[in-house]
Amino acid sequence: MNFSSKEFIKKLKLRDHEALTLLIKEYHQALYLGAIKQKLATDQAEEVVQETWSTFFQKVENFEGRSHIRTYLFGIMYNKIKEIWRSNKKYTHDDEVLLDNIFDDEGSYLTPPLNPSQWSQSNEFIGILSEELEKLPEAQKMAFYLKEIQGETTQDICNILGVSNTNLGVLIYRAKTQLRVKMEKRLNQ
Amino acid sequence: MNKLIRIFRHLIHEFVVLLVPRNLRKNLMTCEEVSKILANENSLSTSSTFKLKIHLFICQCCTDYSDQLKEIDAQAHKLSKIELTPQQKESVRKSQKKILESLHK
Repeated sequence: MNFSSKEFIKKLKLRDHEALTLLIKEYHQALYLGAIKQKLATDQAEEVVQETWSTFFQKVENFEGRSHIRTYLFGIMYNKIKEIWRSNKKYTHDDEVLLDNIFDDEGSYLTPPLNPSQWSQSNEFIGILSEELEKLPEAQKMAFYLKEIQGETTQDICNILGVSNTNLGVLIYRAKTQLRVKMEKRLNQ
Repeated sequence: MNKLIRIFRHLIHEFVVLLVPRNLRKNLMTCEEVSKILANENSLSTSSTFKLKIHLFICQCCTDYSDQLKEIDAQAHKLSKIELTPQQKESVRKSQKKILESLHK
């Protein structure tokens, strides 16, 4: 089934039941899995996916077909997840690494990165990474999740987050800098 | 062996910083530039790829930085391998049914 064909999109806009049913059957589980990967609890993931569909049903008439329907659908869900992160105190960040403190005026490291050879031997690595990921600012966290965990393409991530390619580069760079500095602090002690 | 390579890189790095004139060093990438390229895995021109390789050859800081990112990316990849539990699959089935039913109302 070609979900990006003009004919299918037209049917969706007309709220054709058959087309909507096909779309739900194709993406419902993927949306749910995507929400679970963003560390949402089972009931929270279920709620987010339901809200995603109801928003989609309301907005589908405005879909212009510039991105794949899957990107549009996941974009709605990721925005809802960002709202949850924002409203949940557990996810707020208070110890962001200042990027200005990493390099000197000539672009050399003020404090050299440490050798990570012992990281992979630590049983705690994945747990710590997961914890530190949750502490990242929303935009950085979402960009990192979409790129490194969901494996979305750069173009799709830009569409979902509504940012330019350059801005996405900055978000990924900041996220990775935060993560590596935090991992150093916790694993190279 | 690894220790020797690390010492060698530190020595070369010091040599470049102390003895190569600043205007010549401008042709080399800085650690800051390298860190941004490595974080985003950007596709580079041939000359930039060459400059990047030269920098990594002589700079232990950026080699360690690169290894840190590889470790983080590899672990993050493991986080993507999550599969739904039977309970979650059942929950998905029920919620999908509910949404499909709501369409027909």
